[in-house]
Amino acid sequence: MIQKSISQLSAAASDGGPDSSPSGLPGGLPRAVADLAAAGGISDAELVRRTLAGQQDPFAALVARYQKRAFWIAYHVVGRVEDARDVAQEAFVRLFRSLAKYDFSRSFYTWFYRIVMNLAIDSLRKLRSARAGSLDDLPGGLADEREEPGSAAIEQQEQHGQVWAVLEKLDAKFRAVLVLRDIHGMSCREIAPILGVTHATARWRLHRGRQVFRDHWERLTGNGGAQGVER
Amino acid sequence: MTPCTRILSWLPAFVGDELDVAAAATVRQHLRDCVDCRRQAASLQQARNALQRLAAAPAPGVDEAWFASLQQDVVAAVARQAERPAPRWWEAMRWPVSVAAAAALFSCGWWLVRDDGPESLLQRPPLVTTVGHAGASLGPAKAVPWSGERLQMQPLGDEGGVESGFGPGMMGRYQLRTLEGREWPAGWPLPEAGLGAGAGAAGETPLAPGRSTHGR
Repeated sequence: MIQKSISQLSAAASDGGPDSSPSGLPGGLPRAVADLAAAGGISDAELVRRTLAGQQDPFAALVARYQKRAFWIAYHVVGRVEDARDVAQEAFVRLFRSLAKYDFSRSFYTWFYRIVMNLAIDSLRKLRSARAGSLDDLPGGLADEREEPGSAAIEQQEQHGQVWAVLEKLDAKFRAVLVLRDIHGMSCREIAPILGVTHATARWRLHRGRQVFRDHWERLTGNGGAQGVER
Repeated sequence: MTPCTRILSWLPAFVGDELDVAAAATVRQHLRDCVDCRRQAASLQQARNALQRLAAAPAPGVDEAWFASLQQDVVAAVARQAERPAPRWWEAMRWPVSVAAAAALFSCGWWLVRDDGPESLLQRPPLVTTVGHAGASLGPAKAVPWSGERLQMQPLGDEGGVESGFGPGMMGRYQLRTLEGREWPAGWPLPEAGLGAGAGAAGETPLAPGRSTHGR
């Protein structure tokens, strides 16, 4: 039943579909999918339930809800757009395959982010072992040539490059927790199940990860914390 | 733990605003007075701020149109997955069967090449040797078991009339005193009397109750 519904969805997406994008909906989504994705009253679990019941749009709505967050988490862990895209896509495929095993008593996004994070860390490890150090392999990729940066933007880009360089030196487990906490703003209680560790372990990794990040950052920038702390 | 050590251990959580109110107030108070800790906190904060700014940094070539194409690719990939025929039972069993076959092969190989090796000392028959006074004529042959109950070494000099040939030193005073009064373990070979010069002069029966191994 799910297979049928997804096949119909795929056909609708590739043909443009009766309700697809000419309406100007964000991301070129069919209207029904866009409505489902935006509907605050319909939970993720409800979308899963409807997908399992054989409806065709709920899974596409889940993709619409989570693809950006999945991509950005993967991107900040892996550091390359192409690899992050592959991770996001594979995460949705795995999600679909294991949808029947979803435990409705648990948070959907924690479950899904765990799939994303596992794939991203695997991808990072493969990338690191295969990285030859060419310019193309620099984390964060090359600057977008469509923009014409001014001096402030150049400075900003330079700093981002330094942050990527420091992230590149971090162990995957520290990088993962820093990405989730300091870039994506999740709490340690949310991070722990995503990484499959205890709350205490997540806190320790965050603590240690910040120290290691700071040490590399100071070494790279030569900045020893001359300014005062504001908090 | 000095105040600075404790505060430094709290700083990573402090800059992340993850301390409870009381601990944060303690850190804040300490930072007012301690230049070194303030410098440490500032460096952690600067590094964290730089990391946080990455959240707003665009990725090259990623925009709404790019996400629209990602949505289509994801849906198409899921559709391909859905259209894939369900695995046949032997395909599903491929891994378990492979693992079982590898385990069976390994077991057969192990059985073929295994080397029993020497048996444990604890399973060997006893060593036949002689015991007696150090420096004195050797006593009758005795079987000293490799295993079984450990026998106490007893100082001979504490007993009236018993002297070692070597005097009161360690070599003379401590001897394996006796096996007498103990059951001869079933299956052990009986020791031969008279090993070595002077051995077995008394013709004693090993382990005979009430007889000493020292030729008393």
